[in-house]
Amino acid sequence: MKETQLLKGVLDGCVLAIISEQEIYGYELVQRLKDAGFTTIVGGTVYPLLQKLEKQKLIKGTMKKSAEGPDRKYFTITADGKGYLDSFQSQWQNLVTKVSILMEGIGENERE
Amino acid sequence: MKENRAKYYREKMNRLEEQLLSENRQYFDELRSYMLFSSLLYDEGDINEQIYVLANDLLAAQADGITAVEFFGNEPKQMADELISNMPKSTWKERGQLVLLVFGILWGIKLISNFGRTGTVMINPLSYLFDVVLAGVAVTMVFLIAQKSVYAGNTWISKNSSQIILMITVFVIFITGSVSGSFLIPDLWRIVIPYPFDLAAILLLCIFTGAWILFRKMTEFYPLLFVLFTYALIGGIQRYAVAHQQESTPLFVALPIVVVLAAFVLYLIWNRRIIKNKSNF
Repeated sequence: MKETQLLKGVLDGCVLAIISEQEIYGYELVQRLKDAGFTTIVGGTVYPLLQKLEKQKLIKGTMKKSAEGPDRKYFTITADGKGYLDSFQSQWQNLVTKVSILMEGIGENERE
Repeated sequence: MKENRAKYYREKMNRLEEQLLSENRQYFDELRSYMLFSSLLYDEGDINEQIYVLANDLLAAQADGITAVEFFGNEPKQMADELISNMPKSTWKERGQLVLLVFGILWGIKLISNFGRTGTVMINPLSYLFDVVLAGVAVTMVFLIAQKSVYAGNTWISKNSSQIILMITVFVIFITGSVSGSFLIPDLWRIVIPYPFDLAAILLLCIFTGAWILFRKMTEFYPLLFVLFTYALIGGIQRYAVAHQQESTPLFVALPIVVVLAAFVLYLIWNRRIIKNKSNF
């Protein structure tokens, strides 16, 4: 299975988590995701997602002058976004626990 | 304000585009064309802002040695479609303004070309309506051809020759339709504008259109002013000649030709200046 397919449901949370740490623009965000190990992620996935999150008012985009000169669109997390992220984190922990237990059980059965 | 925002980002984008390497520029050009031709009913300001953001980030990626394909991926059409589907649609008021603009240009050109002839100005409202429908179909077709040809892969529409043939076909259909319409459509509610009211009507049209285009600095419509004023001047000369029974004298035969040539030379000089200013920028 492709990593991108697995990621589909959780990328929103990952992007929100990064934006909650710091104000960030598109290119920087793509690089942060790659640095975090999501090497297959490209701008073609991230920009529509940023737009969707902005439309849902989970993040806010503001055009600002960058240190390098040109105007850039910087994203910050909103109060709704923080709420969504908290809920995502607890659901994610819950899911990881369940999947881990299931996988460990399968592994033990195979060893027997 | 929205129009200014679209123009603001369009101009900034053009400047950014010049800084892109050829490979990245081609990728960006296609993306930009596709998004613009796919978003006729969407907010132009938002579309241009989004494309500007992509261009800006691509430039940052390029500075780090990353190509457009590496940065955006191999499916730019999918990205563009997703971005457009989430864009706010233009309001009914904005769409109405766009339709009025097209109607205005079309009817203005038709009226002024009627005025440029020697006879009395006569308007067939049904023919004017027919032209609008025809223009609507032609504009939609042109946008569709342009949009479908961007990411067409190796299909027939991706070939330049196919696109040219399609565009010419649309153009021929429009011209043939318009010309046959003016002969075949019944002249039921004919409006006659006698001299000197035709002159007054054209003067008003020139003043309002000129002021509107110049005050709003709609640079893309400046060439239209040359056509408008040339036709108006020729029509004015011809009406004056007819009113004074001078239409066959060498002066009034030669004057319209001189006006057309002078307008053409002025247009060339103006166009050259624009190109020079852009290259100096």
